[in-house]
Amino acid sequence: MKVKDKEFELKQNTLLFMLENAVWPLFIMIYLVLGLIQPVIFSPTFFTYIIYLSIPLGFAIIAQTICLIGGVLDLSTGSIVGFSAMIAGVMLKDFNFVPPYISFILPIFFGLLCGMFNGYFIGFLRLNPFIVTLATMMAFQGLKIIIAGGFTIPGSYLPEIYLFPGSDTTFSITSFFITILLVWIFLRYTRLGIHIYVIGGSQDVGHMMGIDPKKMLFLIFSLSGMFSGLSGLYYTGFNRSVPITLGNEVLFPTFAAAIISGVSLRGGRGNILNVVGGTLLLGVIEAFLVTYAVSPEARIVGYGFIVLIAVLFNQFRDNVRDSILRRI
Amino acid sequence: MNYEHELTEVPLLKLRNIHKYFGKVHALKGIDLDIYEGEIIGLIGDNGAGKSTLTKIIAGAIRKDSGEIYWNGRKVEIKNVNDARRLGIEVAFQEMTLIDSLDIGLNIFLGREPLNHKIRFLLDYNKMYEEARRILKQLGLRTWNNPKREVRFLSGGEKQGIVVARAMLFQSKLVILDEPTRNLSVAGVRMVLDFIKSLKEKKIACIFISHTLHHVYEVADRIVLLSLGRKILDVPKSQYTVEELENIIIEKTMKQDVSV
Ligand SMILES: Nc1ncnc2c1ncn2[C@@H]1O[C@H](COP(=O)(O)OP(=O)(O)OP(=O)(O)O)[C@@H](O)[C@H]1O
Ligand SMILES: [Mg+2]
Repeated sequence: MKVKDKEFELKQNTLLFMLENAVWPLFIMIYLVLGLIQPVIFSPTFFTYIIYLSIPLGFAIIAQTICLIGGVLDLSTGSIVGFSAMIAGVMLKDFNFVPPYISFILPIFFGLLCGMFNGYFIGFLRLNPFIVTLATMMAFQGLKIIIAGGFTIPGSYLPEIYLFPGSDTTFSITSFFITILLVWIFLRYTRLGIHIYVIGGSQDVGHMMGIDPKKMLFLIFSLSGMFSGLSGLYYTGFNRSVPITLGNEVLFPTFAAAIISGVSLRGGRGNILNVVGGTLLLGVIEAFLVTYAVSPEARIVGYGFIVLIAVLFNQFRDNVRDSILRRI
Repeated sequence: MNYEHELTEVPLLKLRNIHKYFGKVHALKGIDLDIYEGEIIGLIGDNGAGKSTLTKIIAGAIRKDSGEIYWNGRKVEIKNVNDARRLGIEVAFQEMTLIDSLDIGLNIFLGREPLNHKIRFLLDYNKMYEEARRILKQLGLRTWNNPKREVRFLSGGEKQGIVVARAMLFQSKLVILDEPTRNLSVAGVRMVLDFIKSLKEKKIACIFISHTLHHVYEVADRIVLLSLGRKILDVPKSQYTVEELENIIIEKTMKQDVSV
């Protein structure tokens, strides 16, 4: 009898563990299925390429994940990616007062500035995050095009060291995983990080427990902007240029990846480590589509459906998980 | 008891002429209140009388519109919850301030998570769960054996237990309990009342809000009655029986209703 109980408990815990980290088996499954259709995906070099290809978007996904955990969303993520990369690119191309060895700070700095701008309106002026980031999404997008003067910035105008983080496969991948690890430690093992979860759960409760929602929202959007800027840096290196369209296709995938990784849309829940799974999952699909030269328009349609499926999947997973936990 | 010392002692907390408006609603209309060290105040009154509003002002969760607050005779401004905590005020709010998606341990320490003593910016989860376990066990709560359980899976009474456990863990000079016995079983109520009595032994003051006069009567030194934002009764318990108090409350409340 006792042994049976133990066995049952073990089974349940295994199931729970699987559910919470369901994005990984899902990733492997999709990888295998797509690999059967397109065997080139199975080659080790192509696999490395898939990871490498996911990294620039991965940083933007970190940004969106932090927002979603904090119970808010950032519609301006993609626009900040493009704008921060563009303004940094223009500065490096047209003015040479920035020493090359600190050039990579530029997009991060401008991303942070954009995020602080969002955070000020949402946190301190208490405006609706949806409306504010919708407005800045359009504003930053327009600004990007204006400062670009309508042209792509070729990589030859940019310092090599500036392109390095995003273009060197090893550095790109390693730095991303280190960043994920640091963000995980921040979110789970520091007070500020845990307070993001608290604010995502309830701003009122946070307020009554001495956690200031205004400051926390400001922090959340500042971080989001900063990681979007970082994403801009890696996109620049990955492309070896700053295309005028940079960031245009970023927003939707960030939601898709975060949600499929188990980050709750209701806020207050999500594990950043699993978001790596969601990032790679999108990477595989993206790589697969690239090998078939699917048009960007068709890809957007695809992403639309992926977001829908992700939401459904998340709902289903949460329901199963809850019904198990309730019984324990 | 403590009441007799009133003229010679400086009150721990002294409120003078506290007013609070919510838009056009005049929720507190000039409240005066003194609380002495180790004194238990039973705060009662109808729904909407202003009890929670008063406690939230003391706790720093909302700001008063006018009036003065003195702590040990010194005038203080309580601008936020952390100001109140620094003075030594611990509050269990009526709203049961819990985050559903976080576990019991984190909820008990909300906003005051223990830090690792070696790496000062990292949380010490071991300490957190250990302390949570200890305090829940001490209160005789069943939840003690699983401090990693998410709060949303707890029953109403179990949640209330967590809120009381938090107050117990962080008790310092003044503990405010806003309807802590709500939702609780007979054993749960006993646990809360014993906790309040234990505060008295430690010379910790307490404001206990409840709609059950018998509970209030059992532990309070003084009974304070609020009605429509005014204090209309403030008496030492020892002068009355429960029945007498009940009659006075009904009479006073009716009179107030008529005069408005
Ligand atoms: N945040 C708020 N916004 C607007 N009005 C409020 C707010 N909080 C309280 N009030 C009003 O202030 C008055 C006092 O409310 P309060 O919550 O202090 O009553 P209470 O004595 O605690 O009642 P109960 O026994 O039901 O808990 C009520 O008229 C209430 O409607
Ligand atoms: Mg109340």
